[in-house]
Amino acid sequence: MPATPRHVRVLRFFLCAVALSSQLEGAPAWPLVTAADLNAVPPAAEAEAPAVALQWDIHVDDRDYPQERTITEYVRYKIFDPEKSVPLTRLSEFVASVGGESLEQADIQARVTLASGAVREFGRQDIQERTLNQTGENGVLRFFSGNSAEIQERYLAVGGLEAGAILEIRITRHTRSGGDYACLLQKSVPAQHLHFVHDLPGGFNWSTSGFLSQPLGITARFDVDHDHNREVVTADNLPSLVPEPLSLPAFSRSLAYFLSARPAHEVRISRNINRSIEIRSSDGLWARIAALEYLRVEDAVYGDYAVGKQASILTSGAGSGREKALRIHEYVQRLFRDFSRGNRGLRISRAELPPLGHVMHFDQYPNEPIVPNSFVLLEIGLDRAAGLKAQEVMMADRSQMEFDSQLASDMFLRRRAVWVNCDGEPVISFSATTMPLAFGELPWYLRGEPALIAKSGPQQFVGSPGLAPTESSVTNIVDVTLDPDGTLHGTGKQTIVGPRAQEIRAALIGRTNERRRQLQSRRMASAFGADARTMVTGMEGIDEPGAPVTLEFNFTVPNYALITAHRIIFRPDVMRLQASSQFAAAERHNAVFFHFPTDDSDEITFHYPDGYSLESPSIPPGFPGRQLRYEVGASYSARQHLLTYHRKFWADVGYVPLEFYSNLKAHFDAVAREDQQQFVLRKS
Amino acid sequence: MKRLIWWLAALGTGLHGATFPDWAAEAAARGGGWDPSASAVILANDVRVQFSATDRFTEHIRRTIAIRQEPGIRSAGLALYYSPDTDRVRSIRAWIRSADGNVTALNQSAFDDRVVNFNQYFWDRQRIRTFNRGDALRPGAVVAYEVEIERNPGFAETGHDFGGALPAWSLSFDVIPVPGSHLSWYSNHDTLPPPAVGSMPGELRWSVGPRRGRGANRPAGYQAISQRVAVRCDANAPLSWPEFSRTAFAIMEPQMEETPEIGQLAQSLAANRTDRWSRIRAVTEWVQTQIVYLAISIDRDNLAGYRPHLTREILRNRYGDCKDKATLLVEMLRAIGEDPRLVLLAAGAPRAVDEHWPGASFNHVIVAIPAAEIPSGWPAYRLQNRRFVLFDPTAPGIPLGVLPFEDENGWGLLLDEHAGGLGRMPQFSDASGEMIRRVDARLGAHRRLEVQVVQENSGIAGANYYEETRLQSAEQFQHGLEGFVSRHQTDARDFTVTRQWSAPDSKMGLKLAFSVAAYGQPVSPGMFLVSPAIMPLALELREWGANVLGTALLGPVSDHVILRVALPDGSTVEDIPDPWSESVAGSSASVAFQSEPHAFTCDVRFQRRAGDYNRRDYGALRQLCAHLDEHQHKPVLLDFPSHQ
Repeated sequence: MPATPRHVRVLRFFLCAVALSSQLEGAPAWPLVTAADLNAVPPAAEAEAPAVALQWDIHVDDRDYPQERTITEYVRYKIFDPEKSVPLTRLSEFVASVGGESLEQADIQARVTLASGAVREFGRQDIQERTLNQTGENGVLRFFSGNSAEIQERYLAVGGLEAGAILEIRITRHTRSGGDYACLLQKSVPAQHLHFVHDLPGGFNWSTSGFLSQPLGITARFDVDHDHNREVVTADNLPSLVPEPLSLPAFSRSLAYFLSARPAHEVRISRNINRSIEIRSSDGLWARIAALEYLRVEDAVYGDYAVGKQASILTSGAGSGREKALRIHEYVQRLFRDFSRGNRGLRISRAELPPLGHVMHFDQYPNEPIVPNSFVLLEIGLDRAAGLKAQEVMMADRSQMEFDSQLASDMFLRRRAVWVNCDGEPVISFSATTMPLAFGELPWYLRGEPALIAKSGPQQFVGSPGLAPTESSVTNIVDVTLDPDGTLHGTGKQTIVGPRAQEIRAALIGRTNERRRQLQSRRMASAFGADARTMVTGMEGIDEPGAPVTLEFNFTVPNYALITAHRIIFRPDVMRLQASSQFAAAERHNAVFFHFPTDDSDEITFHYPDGYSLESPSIPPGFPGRQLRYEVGASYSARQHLLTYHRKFWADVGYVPLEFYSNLKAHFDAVAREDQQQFVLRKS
Repeated sequence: MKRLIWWLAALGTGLHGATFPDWAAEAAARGGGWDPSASAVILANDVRVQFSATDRFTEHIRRTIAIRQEPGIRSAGLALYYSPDTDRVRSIRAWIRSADGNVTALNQSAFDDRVVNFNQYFWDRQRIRTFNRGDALRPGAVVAYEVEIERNPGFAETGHDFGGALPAWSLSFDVIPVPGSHLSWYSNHDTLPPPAVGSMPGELRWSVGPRRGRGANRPAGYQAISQRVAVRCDANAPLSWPEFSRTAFAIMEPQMEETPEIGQLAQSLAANRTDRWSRIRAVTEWVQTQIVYLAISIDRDNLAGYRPHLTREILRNRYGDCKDKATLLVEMLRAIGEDPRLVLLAAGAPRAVDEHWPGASFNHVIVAIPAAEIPSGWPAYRLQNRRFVLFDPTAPGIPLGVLPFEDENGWGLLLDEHAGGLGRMPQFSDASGEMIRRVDARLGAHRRLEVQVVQENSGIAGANYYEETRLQSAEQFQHGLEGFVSRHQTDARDFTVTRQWSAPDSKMGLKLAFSVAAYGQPVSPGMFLVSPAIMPLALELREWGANVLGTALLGPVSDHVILRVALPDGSTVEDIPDPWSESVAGSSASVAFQSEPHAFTCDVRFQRRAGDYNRRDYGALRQLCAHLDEHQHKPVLLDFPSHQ
């Protein structure tokens, strides 16, 4: 289908703007602020809340879906502390445009009612505008699509707030793109009354489903009004969302609403291939999403001579399908890293690389944005050109949102990877990441998560097993000597496997060996204290994704031990000198979410000075357990002045409900305490 | 046709097979071998400024950078700051010559254009253009930039800093005056050579190089040694500080209006207070706490950044930045009969203002209140024979009588229509604050330790502690303390915390109680080790990187921890660490243990001299902190037979 002519798009935009303008002129009057509002107090459980949302209304109007979506939000706050409420008063809305054509409109209004009854309204005259970011004009490309992407900010600073004031905010957003929709229904301040209304896409052409994600302890009512094709969520006395380390992603710990809208009966290709696919309910809840993605992929992946030539160069001499797929994976990953490095997180910049250009149809669609998924399409194109069977998989990412198999929405499947058949063995290749990963290796947030194959017909999930603790380990083997003056010196070897090795590799890639050693020496030194001198003498596995990272190091710690008249007092586990409990706070608001399991062990060989003997060392008992385990052991030879000490910490736990927090804290506190165990040498 | 379109598309983003500019090729040939260990090197940076009037000029920049290693790509970009209302980017281009000699020419599409500030405290129109084609750079490549920009800054001055993070082979700064006028210039560093005379009438040219880069890992309070030259195109005599004061006064004073609302508010706040400073304090506290910080610039002229909002608008909006808060305060103080002044200064950068070169090097505004007698210990400012008490209304937690350390040590410009001028800000006021922490602990059965802590931070130490924590809820404040204590005593629990702030005497009081379930560690029958670090001093000081040139500006610290652990009957102290003390670079630390019949005590003191530290003294101070930390953690051995 050819692109819409520019004059038609401009006219459409103009009509949209006129429609918006007329709608805004007729904006409803502000509701009455009552004495009860002015006298409102914070909820007892959050007595120090800087503000409370007395009323929070959200109306999502999708009746013109997918052409237009209108979201109207009204919030009435009671302000108790103006300074701490600053984030509520700086209202900033973004309006994106591409090629000079606006994709969104936003209108902001506010009203402040002081305790004295004085009222001040804020509207269009108070809104400031500025262009936040505009990518460079694309030279000759302007002839195809006008200017490039731009983000405009509409900003309103609400002034005049005093303690006891009522702040009302009304924001209306119009967006011209459809798509799934997700909304957090909790705020950074408590909310007394929530009323969320969604007018669903109309007609028989759309299969829609709204879901309410309701965390433990939150009560909300979810009503479906079939007569009006509307879904309504109501809730009272919602607590504030509290950020804490090791918490689930916001959408997984908050009351949240999700909408998934898909064509009801068939999906039709839009660009290159003119065919459609019938969707049957027997194919499964996710079949519609898989089919739509399948057509999108087939529409985009397009192998021509340039793609075939690149695939041929890459796979020349490869002895197996796996070897071919591996080389393509490495090529695409390197390419992605180069692109990402250029834009530093702002956007993927455009490049003239022929294979990507051809897969993305730059010639026909020169303004097609290059996003991480573009590289997935490139990999599929190259795999297929090399004679491999490859398809896209849509993967759940537990760092962003917990997957729920009953809530069919591609919002739960945000990541894209390639499912490629290598000589009969399917492998998931994840290349669109700056983290160097081996072929078939996945980052922690994708391990054990489901992956939906983009295909028509019955849905098919694949995936990878979850990370085992042994796949996420750090092993320290250290040989140290303690001098009579209390100085400790020694050598060690640290072997890191899994996610932590991936992080180190990502931080060191592209750096010289000298710089790598400097950075790792600094990391090791921080474990030994400010006075320590540490040098990494050897490194292996940095340039081999998937392999363990091994560091060899030596170190000296002056004044390591306490010297008294008759004794030397020291800590045997030199690798845990800075150990402290991960959970200091006695109280917590959120369940605990560990990113990956852990299997860490230390083997310390300790040579102590002549003339001393160990004074009845007491070995901590350790804490056996199925999911959390801690073991410590020691043995010594008085004749050789040798102490051997080992410690093992093992955790195979992901999600810990809030009610078990105190048990979890007790375990980690006990481990930290035992890690600070000291031994005493007494003069013989 | 398809090929033609593809070729046009490629032309839009980059033209391959282009020619590398001669000036860049020459720079690459000359400086290519400089500092081979660096990840990137500036081969040449030539800035040429041509005045078209005394207050506007065109800046022409040519920069050539060699990329040696992959991390150097991050440093090889270009960032061009400008104001869209007063400046105009005439052209901006780049060329990349790869290691194999291929050249790509890039036009303005290779540069993004975005706002500089995006956060909830600043909203203005300042913009930055940044190179967006880092993806096309590789080790071995040379990238060259050429920029031409017209600037109309409002103040008739241009300047250039020859310092920088990357090592550089050749740097030049060339200035051409308006025909018929002359240039006056100032250099803040002895090592900068004097300018050479250029070929145009009145033209001056500075050339520097090669020089090392600034390096990574900056120390706390880092002050870069700038090698700056400032140049002014003077039609008349050079500007003086009193003249500059009058100019700034003329910008700010018209924004201050005496309105009934301001007058009534100020008088109502001061009502029922008879003491002069008490009346003033009532007004200063109100402005500090009731006007929340927001720097919003709406005017579009070249003085917009210097001009406060109208005082009546500030009062109505209840937000503003430093100049807004300062001007409103001045107006309110006038309403209660005071005659305060505004003072401009460079907060956190005391060397930015040079007494020999009157210019716009300020970044902050505070208030000076005339005082014949300065209350003891209060921050004072003197100009000619007049004396003032300084007050900074921007930080809500720093009360009248205390000045933030960032405001000290440099120069302040008093604004006055007739009698303004430059005066010294308070210098390193060492005796302006202290922290005393008393930790009383009682060891009971089963090694349970009950701990009571009473802490008082006073002066700047009190104000800083209050400022750091005042926005924390009681829960957040307690979590912070729990985290700190449990790093040293993992079994600490049952916390109760109260805090109290008294603005008039700048005292932050803290009362803390907790217990430790099993204090210490058994080491042999009847003996166990205990740590005196129940709530020790936190003494971290960042490392000073090997190649980082500059100084470290550090404020004063005076900390004293007095620990007493009462022991149960029958227990004795078996072994106790020796006392320790050390003094370096004007700072000192000591740890003294003492054994009593049924108790032991530990007295920890740390005094840090406020000052501008060089590398050697900073290193010695850091070492002192490490030693103190080590000694305050040394364990005590107890004989405790009946309570195992």
